[in-house]
Amino acid sequence: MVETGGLSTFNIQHGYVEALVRGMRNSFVSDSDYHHLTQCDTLEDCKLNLTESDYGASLQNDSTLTPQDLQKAAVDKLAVEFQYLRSQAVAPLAQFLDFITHEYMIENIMMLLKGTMAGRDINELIAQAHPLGMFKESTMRSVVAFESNAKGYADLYQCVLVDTPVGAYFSKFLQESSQNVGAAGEIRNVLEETEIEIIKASLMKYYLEDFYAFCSSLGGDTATIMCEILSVRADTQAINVTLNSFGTPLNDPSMRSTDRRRLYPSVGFLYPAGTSMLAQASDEESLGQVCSLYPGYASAWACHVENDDRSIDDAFFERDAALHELAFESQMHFGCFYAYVKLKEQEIRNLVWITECVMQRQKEAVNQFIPLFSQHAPWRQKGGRR
Amino acid sequence: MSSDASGCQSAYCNQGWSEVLTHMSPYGWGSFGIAFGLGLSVVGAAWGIWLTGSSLVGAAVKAPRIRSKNLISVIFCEATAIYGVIMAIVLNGLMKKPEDSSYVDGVFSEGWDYNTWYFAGFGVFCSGLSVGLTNVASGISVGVAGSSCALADAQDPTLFVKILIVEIFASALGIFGIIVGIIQSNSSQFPDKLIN
Amino acid sequence: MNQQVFKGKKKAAVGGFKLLKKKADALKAKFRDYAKAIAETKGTMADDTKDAFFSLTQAEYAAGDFKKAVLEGNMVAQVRVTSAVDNVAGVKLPVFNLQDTGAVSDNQTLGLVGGGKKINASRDRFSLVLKNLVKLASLQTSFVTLDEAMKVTNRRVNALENVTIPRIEGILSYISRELDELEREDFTRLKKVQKSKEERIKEEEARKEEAKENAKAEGIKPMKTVNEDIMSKFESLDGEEVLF
Repeated sequence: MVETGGLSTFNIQHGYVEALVRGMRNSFVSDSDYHHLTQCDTLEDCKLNLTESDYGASLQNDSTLTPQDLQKAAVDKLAVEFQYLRSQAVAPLAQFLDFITHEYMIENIMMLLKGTMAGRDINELIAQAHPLGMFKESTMRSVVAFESNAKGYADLYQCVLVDTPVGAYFSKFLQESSQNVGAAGEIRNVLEETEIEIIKASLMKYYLEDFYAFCSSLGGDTATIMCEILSVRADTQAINVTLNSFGTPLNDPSMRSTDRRRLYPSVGFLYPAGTSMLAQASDEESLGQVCSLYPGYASAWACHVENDDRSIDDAFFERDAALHELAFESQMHFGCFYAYVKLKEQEIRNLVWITECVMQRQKEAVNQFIPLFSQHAPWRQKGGRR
Repeated sequence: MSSDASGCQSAYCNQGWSEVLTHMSPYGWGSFGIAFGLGLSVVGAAWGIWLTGSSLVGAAVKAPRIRSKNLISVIFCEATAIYGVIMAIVLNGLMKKPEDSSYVDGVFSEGWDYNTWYFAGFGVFCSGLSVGLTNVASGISVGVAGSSCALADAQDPTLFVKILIVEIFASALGIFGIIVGIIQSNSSQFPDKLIN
Repeated sequence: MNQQVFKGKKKAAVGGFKLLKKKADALKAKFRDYAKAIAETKGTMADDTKDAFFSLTQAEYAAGDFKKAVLEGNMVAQVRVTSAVDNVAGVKLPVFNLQDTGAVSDNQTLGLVGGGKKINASRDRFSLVLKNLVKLASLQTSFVTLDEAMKVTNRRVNALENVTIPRIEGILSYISRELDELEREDFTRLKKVQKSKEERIKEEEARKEEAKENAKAEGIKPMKTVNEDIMSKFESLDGEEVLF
């Protein structure tokens, strides 16, 4: 494994790319821009305000701005910037950046697979794919070329999926599922019988574990910062899976310790003591008890219980944003690349939220987004009082 | 040179490091001192410029205004190389060729001041080393600070001056080296003629 | 004869009018109820729909774009609309009802990794909107049908009230007037006859007197002039009748 380099050697390989990503930090929508945006009455006003931000160029073509257009333009812009970074990166950083895209690839592959089973047009599907998770177009097209029977799916898996960067996660998943199903090798069965969200959650779990292992092998600041971020993310997934499984078949006592438990990543602060407690949780109350044992999650849980305005998702988003901003603030490590992509994602969510609110005239809800790099962010003010 | 009293096991006194080092000529020591002094200073400077430069060009992609202002970081790094050059010239000035009358057939005559000669040789070597090593440290340190300076300036122009002060302190490390080096070498005059 | 017929007609018309009036009133009351219900439902609908779409926005904020996942799901309807008929004062009104097909809800695990709660909240909001929407559709269709029925009934009521009944009344009054006239004619005629008879009797008496007096003199016959007078009376009455 190539080292990332410390304080004195990091810049030799990655200084330029790191400086690039830090330059892109300027493109984040500022506090005052957010303020102006929230004051808008119509989408035209919003567009006018956005033309002065970094998104101006990408929004020029659209005559009228809808939240969907804005989202698409912003995601495309992020993808272009990311590709630029990727093309400048070398050895461990390049791999690191690829790891970031794997998450989106998982999403795209799942969409392609499901779309294929439903018999949709490949061009339509490709158009819907997330630009960050694109892989070779020939590979994407070949996904639909396979026959829709057991043999076709086995071929699909052996010829196409295995070669994609996320193939390893698929093979892990299939292995584990076939152990459970009993009859091995029936890939279509596994793919069809398991709900797509569960496959996705499993793949995400393998992805998180793999990413975590990769980051800790890099060592140095990168390991310190990224492992924390990924641990928190893994815990978020575990808590979310548990919370959202209530009221679904996954919460059946027989499924709890097998199927649901398999979705908990084997990294993170909750693992292993917390996750085994989560596996036993049968309702919100018992989940709350587990969360209350971990100070970091107790507050998020309190949000869920007390406040209807802000959900647990908001609390998690907020904490993620704080972590990512902090990751952005130290130098000479890879965490800032991950943080950049995640913060941009949050920003896109914010902008879509604001424009949706403006469009639907929900004036009182418009401020419920999470400001980025803001001096007024709640976690900064808490720190200031301390 | 009094080769009789050498006590070497081999003919040219080159069997193992201990023989090489104990029998090296003070002129050799002095020249190595100059070489290390200049060489390490340039390594430090180059390293610093690399660290600063890569960040500077990267940050200048999105914030072109920083590109000329932050050249000052590069100049700070360059300064360490200049310290090395100055030191090399000073040290070189201390090394004098002995007068023709002081040796015969490559062997110093009676009355050659061996003590001063060896003192000067080690002195020049070590002052070169002091300068070189401090300059490597200073160069890297200025480089790291300069890299951060470029990035910080790109985000927030008001930070530039503040980080520049940090950089100046890093640069001062090299000056400590050169001061000590000069003092060290001051008394290290190579003898050029016989006593009397 | 005719008068009896028309009197019967009038009675029938008035009875019909009363009945129709009652129906119209019932319809009107129902119509008002519906209008009120529609206004209420529409009022809540506006808010509910707004909330529902906003909850979708919230869900998308938390869980990302999940429209694709929903589109790729198996599209088995969970609810269906059935229609029934309601009877209001003889007007048949369609009523729509939501029926649960009992299909297992798809995409239960949607948003498993995040935002599942918000998606469920959004799902609930939209079911509520759907319910309201069907209710509103039902009300609205009934409203339109009722409106139509009410217009027809009102037209009939008004026709009876303002056209048919007055015409029958007119005919009746004409008939009664005509009958009166005839009665009066007969009376006059009788009076004339009586008068002429009295005159004749008087003349008779006078003649008798004269004859008595002029038993010795000769008798004269005044009959002709009396006959002419009676004729002219008749003619003038005929003229008046035509004029009337």
